[in-house]
Order: sequence, then C-alpha cells, then structure tokens
Amino acid sequence: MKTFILTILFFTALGFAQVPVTVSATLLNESECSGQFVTFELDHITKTRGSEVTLYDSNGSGVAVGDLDNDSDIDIVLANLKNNNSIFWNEGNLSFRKEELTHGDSRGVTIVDVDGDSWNDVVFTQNLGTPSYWHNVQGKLEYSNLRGVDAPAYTMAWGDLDGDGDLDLVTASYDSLLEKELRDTFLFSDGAGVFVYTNTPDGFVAERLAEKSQALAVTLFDLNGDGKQDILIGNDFEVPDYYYLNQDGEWIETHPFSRYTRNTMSFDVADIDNDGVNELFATDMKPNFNDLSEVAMWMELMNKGFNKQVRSSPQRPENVLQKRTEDGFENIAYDKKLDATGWSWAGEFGDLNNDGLQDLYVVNGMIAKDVFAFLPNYELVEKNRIFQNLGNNNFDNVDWGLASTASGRGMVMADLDNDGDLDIVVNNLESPSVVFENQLCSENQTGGDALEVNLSWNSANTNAIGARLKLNTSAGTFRRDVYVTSGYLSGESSRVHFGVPKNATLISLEILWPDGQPSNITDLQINTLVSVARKELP
Amino acid sequence: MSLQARSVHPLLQLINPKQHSLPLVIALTIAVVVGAFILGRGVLPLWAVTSIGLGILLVPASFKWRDDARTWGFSAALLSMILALQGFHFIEHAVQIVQFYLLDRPGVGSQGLISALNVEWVHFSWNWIVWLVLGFLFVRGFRNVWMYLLLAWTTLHSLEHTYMLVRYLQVTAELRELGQPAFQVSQTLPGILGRNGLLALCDWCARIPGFTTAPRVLVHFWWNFGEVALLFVAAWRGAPKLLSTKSAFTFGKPRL
Repeated sequence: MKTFILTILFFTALGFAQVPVTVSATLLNESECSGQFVTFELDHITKTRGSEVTLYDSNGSGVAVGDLDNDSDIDIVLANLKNNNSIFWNEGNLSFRKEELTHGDSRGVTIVDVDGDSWNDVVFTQNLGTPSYWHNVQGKLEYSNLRGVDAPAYTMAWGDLDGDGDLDLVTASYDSLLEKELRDTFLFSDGAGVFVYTNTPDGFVAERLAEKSQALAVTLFDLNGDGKQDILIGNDFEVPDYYYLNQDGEWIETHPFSRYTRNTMSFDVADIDNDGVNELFATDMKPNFNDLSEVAMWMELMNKGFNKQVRSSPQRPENVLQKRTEDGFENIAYDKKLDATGWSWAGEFGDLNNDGLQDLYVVNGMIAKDVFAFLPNYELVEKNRIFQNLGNNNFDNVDWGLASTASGRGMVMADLDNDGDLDIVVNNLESPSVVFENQLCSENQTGGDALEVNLSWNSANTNAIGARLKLNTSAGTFRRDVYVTSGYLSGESSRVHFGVPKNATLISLEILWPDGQPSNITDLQINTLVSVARKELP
Repeated sequence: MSLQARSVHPLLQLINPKQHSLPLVIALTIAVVVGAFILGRGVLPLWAVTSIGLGILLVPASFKWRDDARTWGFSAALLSMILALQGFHFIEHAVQIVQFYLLDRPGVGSQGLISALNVEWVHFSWNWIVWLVLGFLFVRGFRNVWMYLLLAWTTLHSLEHTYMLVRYLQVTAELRELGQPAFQVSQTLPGILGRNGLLALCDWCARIPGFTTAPRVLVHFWWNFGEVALLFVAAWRGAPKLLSTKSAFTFGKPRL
C-alpha cells in the first residue's frame, strides 16, 4: 500500500461540540479486474466428528476476520469442529500463513479486543461448553478464559450495552444440541439459554434473560430507534425469536415484528436503501420453487413439516427483510424476491461492486444423514446466491463467480487485499474454506471507488464497536455501523467499507461514537483507508 | 306446457328436483346418518365418508338428470348436471377456506371434505371435463356474453391446472430419480398465480397483491367462485332459450 499521512486534529466544526480525533489516510491498492470473483482455497476444512455427517455437526462453524497483528492487513480465523481452529495471518497480496490453534470443537468465532489493550483477541463459542478466549499478547495468542462467562453458548455478540465504554457479551445456547450430546447431564443441569454478560473490572457479571433457547444467531440492533442497541435472539425449530429492548439497564422483552422467520439461521443489519436507517435481514430455509430438482429434494421435508404452516402464525419458513416504517416493521423479503434462497446459513450485505448500494450474499446447503438419507452423500447441494442491489430496494440474482455449491456455513466480507473492494471468506462444511477475491471492478461501470475507515478509541472499546458512520458524498449519504459479529457464527472486521459510485466526490464523514459523541471529518480522499483515532478531552 | 306461461324462471325449473325431491331428501338423510355413524366410530376418514355420501346422493340425482334430458333435451340435462357438480365443487373449496382461515389449519390440513381427491390429476381432469362440457353446450348454441366470459375463465383455470400437473409430473420424476415415492398431497406446489407461483417468481414480473401473494387455497377458491358465478349468470340468461328448444340428444319420451 502506498502511504501518505494526513494528521488533522478536529475539535469543533459546524457549530456543535465534537470530540477531538486524529485522522490519517493511506492509499488503497489498485484492484485486479476480471469482472468477477476469483476463488482461492484455504488449507482448512471444517470436519465433523463422525464418519458420516449427522445433526447437529451438520451446522458447521463460523469464520471471523480482523487485524490480529496491527499490520493493517485483515487476518482470518476459521473455527472447526473436529480438527484445530486455524488462523490465516495475512501477509499481503492475499498471501496467508496458516497457524493452528490447538483447540477445536468450536462453533462461532469473533475477533474482538476484549481487554482493551489495542490488540484484537479471539473468542470462540464451543460446541458444548463455555466460550474459549484467546488473549492476544502483542500478536501471540494465548489460551485463557472469560472470567464469569460460565454458561454453554452456541452463538454470541459483542457490544457496549451499558454505555460504560467497555465491551459486553451476549450469548445464547442451542439446546437441542446440548440435549442430544449431553443427555441427562444437560437435562439435570441449570441449563443454558440467553445471557447478557456485563464487563466489570472483576470479570463478567451474568444476567440470564431466558432459560432456554435454540439460538443459531444473535445480533444487536436498534429495534425502537432510540439509539440503543437491543438484543435479538434467532431461534431454530419454530421457537419464536426473542427480542429484548435496552431500557435504562433493563432488558424488556418485546415483539416488534408481525412476520418473522420460523427457523432463524442468521441475522445481518445493513442500510440497504441508503435512507440512514438500518434494515434487518434474517435467513431461513425455503427452496426456490423455480427449480424443480431442488424442490424434489425438499419435498419430504415440506410434507413433514414445512407445510404445517398455519395462517395465523407470525412465523414463516423463509428469509425476512425487516424495513422500518411509520407503522412499525414491514417484511419486504418476499416482495423483493429475497425470501427463498434454499437451506440458507449466513446471509450478509455489503457493497460488493462499489456502487453505493449494499448487495446480498447468502451461503447455502445441508449435509445430514438423518435428514437427507436419500441424497448422494446425504447432501442437499444448493448454490450460494448473490443479489445485486439495483436501488429502490430492488435486487437482481446475479452470479459474479460466487455461486459455489460447496456447503457453506459461516461467511464474512472484508477487504483482505486492501484494494478497496470487499472480498468474501466462507467456512464450508466438509470441503475447503474459500476466499473469493473481488475482481468485479470492470464488470459494472457504475462501481469503482471506495473509502474504508478504521476507528480507534482511547477507551476499553478500542475499535469503537457500535459507532455509526455516515459518509456524505455528491452521490448521496451512506451509513455503516461498526460490528464485530455478523451473519451465522461469524465475526466481521471493525474496519468499515464504503463503496462510492464512480465520479462521486466525498464531502464529509460523520461519526457518532458509541457514547453518542460526534466527530465530523472533511478533506477526505477517495480510495483511501482512513484511520480515525479519538483522544479523550482532557 | 308453455315456459312463458310459468312465472318461475326456467333455470329454477331446471334445477328444481321436482318429483325427485323426496328421494334426494331421503338419500341426504341416509348419507348424513350413515356418515355420522361411521365418523363417530372412527372406521373411515372424512374423505371416504364424504365419498360414500356423494355416492348415495348420486342415485336420485342421476334419475333427476335422466328426466331433465327427457324433458328438455341432452344439453339442458348437461347444464343441470354441471350446475349441481360445480356447485358441490365450489362447496369443497369453500370448506377448504373455512379449514384454512377459520379453523387455522395448515395447507395440508385444508383439503376440503374429500381430501383424497385433492391431487393434481383430479384437478386437471375435472377442470378440463368441465371445459369440454361447457364447450359442448357452447357449440350446441348455448351462447351469451356470460358464456363467453365463462369459457375464457374456465380455459385460464384449466391452463393453470395443466401447468400444475406438468410441474407435479416433473417433480415426481425427480423424486423417482432420488428413489423417493411420488407425493400425493396437493396444496404443496404453487401454480401460476399466488404465493410462490410462476408470476411471483419470474424475473420481470412485479408483485401484484393477491395475484402473487395469496396462498394456493385462496387462489383456487376465487378461481372456482368466478367459475360458479359466471356459470350461474350464463345459465340464468341462457336457460330460457335452451329449455324452449329441445336438444336433438334425447333419451326416451319426455315427461311433460
């Protein structure tokens, strides 16, 4: 990366108080342009424990991305069930050095600075036990534990939920798995369920929100527009999702959606129509009725259970896209033809063609002898789906070289080669994990440029997780939030990516820090990685 | 006996069971009592009991239609039959609506009274037979503007069932390749209209409320509601002429 540094201190602007920040910018690399994504396999296969894949090993594991060695390259961590978890240290130009973590049996993974020492740590949820914590000591990961985090967890989310400047944790269990594997040990235990762990100097303090859950997904999303992050728990097996409002330190259960998923597999939060308000996307399982060979594979399941849908139920076995309206949320997934993507796991939005509109990628497939005994290798083979955002909430199902038929589970998007476009990493089950390098640039004349932003904050929440960013350009305003967990069992980078329509000029970047303080940055240059460091007022 | 001399509309004369009223009431009573008994004992499912009941009713009904043919001709008898049978067919769809919307049953549990016949072959055959009967009546001179509309409506309805049968056969062939049995239950595959239907899935089509969002059970309720409504209006308008000019196809002597 060619580097130039701008160091500017912002104290006040536009007439309102702003927090001081230091801004530096680094030019992004030139992107290779083949008009599509190019696939690279990683030396990592998420294997299941038996000779044949059965429930719930079939659920696979996740993937996380983030900078673990502070070299400005985004590294990859892949969870595994049978074998060791893997770190792929990014050495630039999509060259990776693999390191195995002597630990496996993992489900979810997040790269997050738990202890606020400015080195990102790695946290895994385990198949059966409590989360495992790998403390990053200046680029070297050491196994440790999260004090006070004692309940089994399948999935997790990190954020500053109590506004005290450090990161809290939400976990949820997948009880069917625990019952199947642990049997009486689990049934006669205190159980698991949903926990909020508040970060304190003495460790995490647990608050149990639900005694039972079948959670495959957790996300933090502002349900009532009060600026606070609320908790969403996505349950499998027709168990209604749980929604908790953050109200003055209390978690109040609520039911904001008239329609929602029946078997929630993953959540993603994104502003897909650039109106400054985030939408919520959740994946479920529904075949594409256009493809009869796919429908045939689903027929037994449909006759057994999926057709038991009653009209009065608010749940539907299909993806939902919740859009906030004046009358509450409206599910627009069916109207926008995003409802049926197959047996879907991770679904995530990102501006893949840098046209200012966030596109959707969904990874699909299932392998399980107890479900698909009649299929070769017990595998429901389904293509991953990519939907190009055309604007006005319209989407086009395209290919872009992403229609892999490998059985994907966890998936994240990040700019791995610092060239200004989002690449994709998928943790496949029983086949190699892959990196899809984004070489779309020449494919779409409207796309091309980018701005990436790295926030750092002199607080325990060093990556400013939960911050909201608005990029004002001559082509419109684009919103992104800083998240480190996303999709299915996966963790995204705290580095924010904005695609910018070609020929658009950058006006300003508004940052609303997690504590509600604003910063406004002008003098931005296109195709740069902007690092914004916040120093506290004296 | 002059038709004009009567104050009763010819269509009402046609559908009036007349001397077959008592046998029909007796048959209906037997069907209900026997059906209730069998259902109460749990010997047979609802669809089998309904079929037995319909079989019992068919005896006096067939005598009635025979007399219609003798009185007013073959075309009038066909019209009488199609009115009765489509009427029952519509009741079947209305029952499905009750099951789905009022009893809150799932789609597979909302299959009317004779659920065993709720399969694509039966829908396909039934609708094309109805289309043939209407076509025959049309050719025989039973024509008015409502009949044109009815034929168009029935053609579209039958084409949708043809599309559904083709897809059913394709899925069944796919299942055979997978070593799986063919599925028999209807209410599973969408057709052209309705939720997940062809219109809803095509790339260039926009969502049209109802046309691309209604569940299959509702789509076919409206198809049949339209068909029965148009049939009744067409018959109301066409019956005076039909009953005044006796069809060439007759059976025995007319009883006037």
